[in-house]
Amino acid sequence: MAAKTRVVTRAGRRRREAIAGLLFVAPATVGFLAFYLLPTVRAFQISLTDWSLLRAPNVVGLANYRRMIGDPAFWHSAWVTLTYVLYNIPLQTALGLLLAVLSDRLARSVALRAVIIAPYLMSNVVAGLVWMLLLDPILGLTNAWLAHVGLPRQGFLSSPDEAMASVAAISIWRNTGLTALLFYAGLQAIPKHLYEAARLEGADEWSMFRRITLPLLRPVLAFVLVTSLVGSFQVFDVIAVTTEGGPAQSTRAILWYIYENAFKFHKMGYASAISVTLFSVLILVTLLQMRLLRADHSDLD
Amino acid sequence: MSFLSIDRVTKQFGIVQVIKGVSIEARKGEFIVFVGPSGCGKSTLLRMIAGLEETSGGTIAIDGEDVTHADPARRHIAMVFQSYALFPHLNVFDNIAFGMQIKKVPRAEIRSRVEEAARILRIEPLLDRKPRQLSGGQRQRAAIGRAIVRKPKIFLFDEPLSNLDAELRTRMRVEIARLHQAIGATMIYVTHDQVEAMTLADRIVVLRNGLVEQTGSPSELYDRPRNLFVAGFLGSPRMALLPARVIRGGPDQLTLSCPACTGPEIDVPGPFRREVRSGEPVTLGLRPETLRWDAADPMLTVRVEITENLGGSTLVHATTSDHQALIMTAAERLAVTPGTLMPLSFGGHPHVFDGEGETLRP
Repeated sequence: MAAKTRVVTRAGRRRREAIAGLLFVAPATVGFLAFYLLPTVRAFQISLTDWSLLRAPNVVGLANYRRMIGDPAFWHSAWVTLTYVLYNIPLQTALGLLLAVLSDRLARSVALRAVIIAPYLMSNVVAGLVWMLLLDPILGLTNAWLAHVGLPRQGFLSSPDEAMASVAAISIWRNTGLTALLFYAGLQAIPKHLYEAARLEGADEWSMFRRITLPLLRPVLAFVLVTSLVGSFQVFDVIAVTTEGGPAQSTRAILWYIYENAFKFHKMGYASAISVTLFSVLILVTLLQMRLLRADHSDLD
Repeated sequence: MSFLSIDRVTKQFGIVQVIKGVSIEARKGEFIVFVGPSGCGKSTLLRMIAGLEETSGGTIAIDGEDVTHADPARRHIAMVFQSYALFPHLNVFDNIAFGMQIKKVPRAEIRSRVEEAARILRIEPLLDRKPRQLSGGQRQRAAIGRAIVRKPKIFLFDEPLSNLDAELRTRMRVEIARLHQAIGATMIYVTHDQVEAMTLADRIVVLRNGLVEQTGSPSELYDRPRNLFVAGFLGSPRMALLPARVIRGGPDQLTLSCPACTGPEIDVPGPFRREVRSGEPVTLGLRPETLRWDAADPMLTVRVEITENLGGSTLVHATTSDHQALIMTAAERLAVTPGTLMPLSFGGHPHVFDGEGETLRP
């Protein structure tokens, strides 16, 4: 009898725990379903229609995708996005790593880390606005400084040749702090004895970085690369605030092109098709990166 | 001519002085053990020899060369860390070869030297394993392997066995002693374990609060501890310390009264280092193995608290009549129940320390 009661209570407790667990994940699950999964499924559905926001949608099959493949504006936006990614990722990663290693090996100052992370605390929109003023070709401070050191005026955001690089520079300025902080946290997990042992073996700072820091930082590196790459492909807000895709479409990145199609040209079906394509490409890139960097596996205990 | 010469070194961390002027000389091939309680500065001193800590004052010379402020890599030393400090992403081979790979030693030479070290340490089958796939003892060997391929002038060991379980610690202790015999290198070994110090050392340096308390061979330190600290620190089980007072001093004999003793006074034979005045407070130090069950002529009677049967011998934990803890090692198997009053006498010359804790023995 006693044993039976205990079994019942144990089962009851397990059920109560399960209910509590479900309650804890419920808010996140509801958010995920309502704001991620459902829109994704809907986007896929819409991508198969000619919905224009005004008229009832007709199913057009894969017509939107076929159109995308033959659309030079789409390929242009893909190319523009890729240049942005190529500016952004290597510089941001290298700078973040450099800042993290320097602040770890030389100056472990909280104040310094606070300064490094500060730009990230600003929203992209604010960062974009501030830099738009600073980079203004006529009134901007940046050109005033350049003139001061005897360099010619630059067009920055208003020059088709420099606009994308300028957008990338703004993003790098804002995001490097976060990257550096993530790397810094990763560095703290590497035992200091390893560096002492390496010093005794005659390793200099560079070979310690190459032979110890970098390999042991691999999981963090993978995380940083995956998140920043996905983030870079989705560059939007800085462009929306500063260049709106211009000048001469030189900053019309994919997300901006999707936005234009959806809310300016009212081609919801076409915009959704590009979105679904971008989504698929990003998933593939992420999987590939995780695989290449063995992101799920650390050498540290 | 000493091989390692540490001359009045000091170490200052901010306003705290952790090494307060230590001088140590080591001959080539000698096995020196720094021993002391935690916080005594033994690891700091070792790290100063390695160059991992800056030396604040004094000089360190290795093989006649002043290396006080030299870069660690230029000191030709190797160090085995308590945590082993193996590179977790490299296999045993690459861990051992690390320094040679940095110095761009030819591959064939690296291979032969790593294999030689692996043979000495019997880790040949483990060369392609990562540290995480090794047991504690194997990691320890790999770390020692990394040290021996460097053919260093001095090996430094920083509590290398304290992460191992008791049985493995005993085995590795013997291995380290064997390694020292095999390669004959100068070794400096830091431990807080007095058994390791006693068994491994040619010479022990006992440190406390950043100062050397005593230096000498294990037997010297065991037989003639200079003060109460050394007497209490070395020897397991610990020496029993009984407070006493001098009734009559003399060059050849002291007559003491001790509250724990059976009679009103006991005689302790000399010689003594100095004239001892009557009335001086002293401490009587009795090694566990010098105590004997002696019903005929007991010097003190103790109350047995617990006995530990170690198979070959018995440890008797007891308290004296004035509540001092005392441990006796009996070579035979003693069957005494807790609470028994046990008459004891002590053989040999007991240790006597003055009121300052300094020995009165020469």
